[in-house]
Amino acid sequence: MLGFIALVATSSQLAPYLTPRDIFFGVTVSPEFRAGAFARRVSRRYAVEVWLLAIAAAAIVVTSPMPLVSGGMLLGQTVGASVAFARAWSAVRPHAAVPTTIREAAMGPRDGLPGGVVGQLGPFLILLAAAAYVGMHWDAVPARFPTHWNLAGQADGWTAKSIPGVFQGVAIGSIICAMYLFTSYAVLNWTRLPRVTGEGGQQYRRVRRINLLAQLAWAYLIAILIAWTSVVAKFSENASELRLPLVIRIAPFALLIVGTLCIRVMRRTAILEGPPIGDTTPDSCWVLGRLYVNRMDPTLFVERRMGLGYTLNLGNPWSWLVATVFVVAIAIPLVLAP
Amino acid sequence: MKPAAVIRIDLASPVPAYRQIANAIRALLVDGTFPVGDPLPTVRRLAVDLGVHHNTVAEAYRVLSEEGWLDLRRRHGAIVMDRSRPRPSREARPSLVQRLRELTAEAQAAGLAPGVIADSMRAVATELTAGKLKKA
Repeated sequence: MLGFIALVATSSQLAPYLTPRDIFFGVTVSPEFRAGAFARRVSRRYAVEVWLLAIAAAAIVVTSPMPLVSGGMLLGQTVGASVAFARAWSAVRPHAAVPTTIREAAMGPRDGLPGGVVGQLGPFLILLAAAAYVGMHWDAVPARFPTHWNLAGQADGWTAKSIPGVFQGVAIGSIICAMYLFTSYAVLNWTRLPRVTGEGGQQYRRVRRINLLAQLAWAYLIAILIAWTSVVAKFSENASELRLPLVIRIAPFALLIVGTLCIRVMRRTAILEGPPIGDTTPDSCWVLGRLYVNRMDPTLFVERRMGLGYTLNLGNPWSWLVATVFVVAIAIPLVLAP
Repeated sequence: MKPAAVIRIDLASPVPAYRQIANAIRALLVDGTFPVGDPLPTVRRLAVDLGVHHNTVAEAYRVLSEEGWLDLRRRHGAIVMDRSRPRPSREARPSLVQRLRELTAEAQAAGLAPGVIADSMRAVATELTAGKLKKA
């Protein structure tokens, strides 16, 4: 748990540095602003707040190591880091720079999804193979099998044999992989690149590709994890002693670290000239620097202004449909399973 | 691989966005970037890329369609049409000169030297005559 608290603190501290250099704590600023004394003061204060929260959470978890307290502390730490971010956003807002009003659009075909069709369908094929294996060995499925593991990798949740119970994992995995696939497609087709020409355009495209590759890698990780639980854990003779393989436990962190480092290096080495480009979204449409609401912007997804990845444009009516479908799709197998 | 053609607009320009989009695409059509029969990006896609309303791009496409550059078909999007050069009207040349005067004044007001403006116009004219218009 202490490792998770350290991870939340580290990712919270790094989050403002993963955005383009001319976006600082969710505000469009001049490229040289980050190096100034005021920006350094804001960064320092934010880092101190984030780590004080982590120390407080760690102290509480160590003194009362109950699962509920640990979960509550992680949640509290995340909310606290968001409040610290909002404070920094509020402090930087008066220093906002006027972003460029130039917009560019490439008239050629769109970039393809990384890995192509086969690469994108891989996670679904893994899940399908796992489901087929379980179906073919239905008689060997025990009356009770593990379906949940704690942070230490030990089984702590069990389910009785039934069709919804046995295939719940594969169903949830397929839905999550479908969400990743949809998001990747939407990012390529319904998201704007701030620049498409020159070195700047190349840079934005590379960052987008890393984000899409990270999404694909997450989909593979989830598919492999669920295939392992469906095939290996379900038929294990000593399931209560079975632990999640170390590689499955380490892979998400390795992926997070590699993705973060790649984007951090790209942002640091970006060449910035002239007025700030930012992400070509108006600062006034960002609520607390975190939520994007712009009815005039037809994009469905925009790059987040804190951390990695994308967020919905809540001003686009389709975004509410997407959010609802995502929530309902995840909820259905959870509700239907015994 | 040949880099894709790019259009650029300035949202702060006094020229309306739909007019800028139409002008930029017309320039690409004139120099033959899009062969006859090729589809242009959909209205929705161009609106997303430029961060403007769909209606703005639709209006630009409508202007180009009225000029005979595009065939706007439902479900097929905007298709580049074969457009032979029309016979110029009597007002065409004075109108062009007037617009060039206005453009020159705007460029001078922005700080460009007359020599630079003249060189730019010459370069554009050379590009035009080397392109599709020469063949037409």
